[in-house]
Amino acid sequence: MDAVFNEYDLVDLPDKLNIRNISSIHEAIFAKLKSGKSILISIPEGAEADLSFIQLIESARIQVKSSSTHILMSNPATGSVLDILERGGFREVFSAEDKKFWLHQEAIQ
Amino acid sequence: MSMPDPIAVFRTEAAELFEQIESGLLDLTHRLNDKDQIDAVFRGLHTLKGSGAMFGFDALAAFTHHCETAFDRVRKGEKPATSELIAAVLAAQDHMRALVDRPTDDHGNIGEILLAQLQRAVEGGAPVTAIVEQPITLPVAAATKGGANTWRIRFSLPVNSMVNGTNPLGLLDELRDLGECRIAVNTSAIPSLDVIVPTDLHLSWDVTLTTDQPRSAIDDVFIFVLDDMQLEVETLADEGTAEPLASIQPEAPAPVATPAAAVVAVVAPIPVPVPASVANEREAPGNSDARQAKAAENVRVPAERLDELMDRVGELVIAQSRLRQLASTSMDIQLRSVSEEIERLSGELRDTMMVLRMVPVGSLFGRFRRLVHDLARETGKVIELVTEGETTEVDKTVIERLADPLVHLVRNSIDHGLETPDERRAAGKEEAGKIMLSARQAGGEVIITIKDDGRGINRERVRAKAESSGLIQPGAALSDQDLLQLIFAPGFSTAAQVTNLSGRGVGMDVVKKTVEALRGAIDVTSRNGEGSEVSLRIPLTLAIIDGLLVRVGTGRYVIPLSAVEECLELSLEEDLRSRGRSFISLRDSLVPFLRLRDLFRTGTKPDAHQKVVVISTGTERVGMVVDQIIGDHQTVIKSMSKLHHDVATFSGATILGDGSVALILDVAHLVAAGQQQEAQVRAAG
Repeated sequence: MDAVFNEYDLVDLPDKLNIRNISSIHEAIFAKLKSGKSILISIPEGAEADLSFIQLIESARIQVKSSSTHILMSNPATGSVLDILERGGFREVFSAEDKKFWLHQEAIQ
Repeated sequence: MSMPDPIAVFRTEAAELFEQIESGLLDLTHRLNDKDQIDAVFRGLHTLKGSGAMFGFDALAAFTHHCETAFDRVRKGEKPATSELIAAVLAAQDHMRALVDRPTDDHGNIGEILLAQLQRAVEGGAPVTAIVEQPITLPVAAATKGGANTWRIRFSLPVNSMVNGTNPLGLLDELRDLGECRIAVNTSAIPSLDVIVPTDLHLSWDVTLTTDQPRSAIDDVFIFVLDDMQLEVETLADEGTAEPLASIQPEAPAPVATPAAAVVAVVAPIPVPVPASVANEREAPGNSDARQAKAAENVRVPAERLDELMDRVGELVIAQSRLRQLASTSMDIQLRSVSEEIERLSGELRDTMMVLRMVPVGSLFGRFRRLVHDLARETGKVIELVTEGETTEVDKTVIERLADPLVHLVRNSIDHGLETPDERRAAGKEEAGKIMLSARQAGGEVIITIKDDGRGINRERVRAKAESSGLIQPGAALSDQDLLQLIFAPGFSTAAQVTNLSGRGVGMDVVKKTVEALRGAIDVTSRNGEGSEVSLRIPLTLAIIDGLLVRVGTGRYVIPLSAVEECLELSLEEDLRSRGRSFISLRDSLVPFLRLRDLFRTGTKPDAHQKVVVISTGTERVGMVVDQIIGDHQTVIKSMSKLHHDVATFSGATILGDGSVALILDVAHLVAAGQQQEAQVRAAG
């Protein structure tokens, strides 16, 4: 796993992932991607997220699709992030790729 | 990329919510059973609470919750809307403002006192189920009669929803509470990271809900956001074969539904695939695009950025003036051509900038509704506030600076002018006293008038007070206007009793100073027993004006072009002939004139062909004799230094193209001086 992680720049996020500081999170992620680096998003355990955070990560995923960079989550979604994915109706429409990204679930062949 | 500070954005939104809540409350005072206003106030309080909690204003959210609960009971018909309740919520709103402005301050036990007052106001009323209209329940399909019904709900919220404190997850949770739910988010509108505004909402939802609740229960979920959102609700008699019947607006009566299905389409469609039959019922795509385009046309810009831009435009106008001067002395045709082009462009830029800074005076008048409401309760007087000309536009700086003077004047009218209901009845007047606030544009000025139908100014008391305080000599001969103007003297007050409204002798002199600082003037008229009228004449803008550049002796001066009526030639012979009387006959009316050369003591000889520039303020005119009219001039107004603050003849200065300074003449002052001269001449016979 270390070998994989070394290819990515780690983005350590704060434990508040909501509308109050979403602009600074946006700046942090955007700066990394703009420099041409792939990023590994690390969310602290027990972090408080809201819808704006999920939307921002989805936006980052859209961004990397048009570039040679990648974005990964260091851990599968848990806690409030998972809660929002469920309550917000994201899980209902998850593709295999979404499941892999958010939940680290590989499609069973 | 620079992002707006979410806290600052919340404060701005909160200010708008406060205005909305206050306006609703004040409207309710006249129509206590107005369900629309009750709902509007409730929605405002609810949004404020939600936004507050989202942005960390926990004390605000907790406090607002109580007011929201109180209004929820009114909305449900459990309690009546009473004037006591409205007053309690208005007072509570002031505390909410403080909690927004100073969230970390210690506010003592003010909140508890206000909540106790609110509690008393709520519990004091009787149930009003018979008075308040029941919520509109739209007819639903017959399918609901037999039990559970399946609904398809598609919605999207405005992009600023999250910033405004609306939590879409809360709406989804409420839908879940109604029954079995399948919720699918639509992420197709999310932009990529390089263009997204992360505080904006780009998601929409498609929900399939099976519930035994009526359609109105679904409407209730969206009650706070219904005005701005896009919502479609349809019953699915057989999933996938939805058949719409009609599209109606939320408040309109629903059409008779067939047993098959009922559709209530609220505003424009959302961008998700729908059956063709539903799409046919929707608004034309062009309309939706036009609406979205219209929404995108409005941009919120901090006021200080407008000020900065105005400063830059001012500097550009000065630089352009220098260029014009250089070009005028050059033989280079191309340079002249470029200079003319830049002059035209800078003129257009200036005009555009001026329009950007203009705001309707209604934004100023709106706040007086609350003031009058509070003062009426405080004084026991019955007061009717009438406003006129709210759409009259004035430079935003002028509006900001006028707020305090107008508060003083309105307070003064209510405290000194209007009588108590008993006194009014005894005087044969209606019980309700009237305060009229009006605004109108006249040339380059806006005239704001505060008029009351009270007792009028007691001239004997004004004179007695002025004599006793040494402002005038006993028995001094004063014109009526001069006597009335004494009320603006520092320390002057005729109020027998000092109240917290007025009577301390502070305020009216501040009013005059503020208005004069705006290059404006105050007129007062009053009739015993009939009321008083105070008119503020204020220039439309404080930034850049079109001026007429003139020469007097060796000095150059600017006369605001908006005040100029006409220019005449004054030959040396006529000048000599008019010595001693200083009047010109202008189309059968005598117009007094001032020789600026004498006024400014230039010590120079008059030009052979002097000019008379006739200026006016409203109906009063005066001529000013100058040596030469140089021409029009875009005048960037610079304030006079503190050293020259008391020089009444000039309202400011400007920098000319050659770098020299020209003083701007104070039209109001000069007209007044001319009129005074006329009065003296007439008095001398």
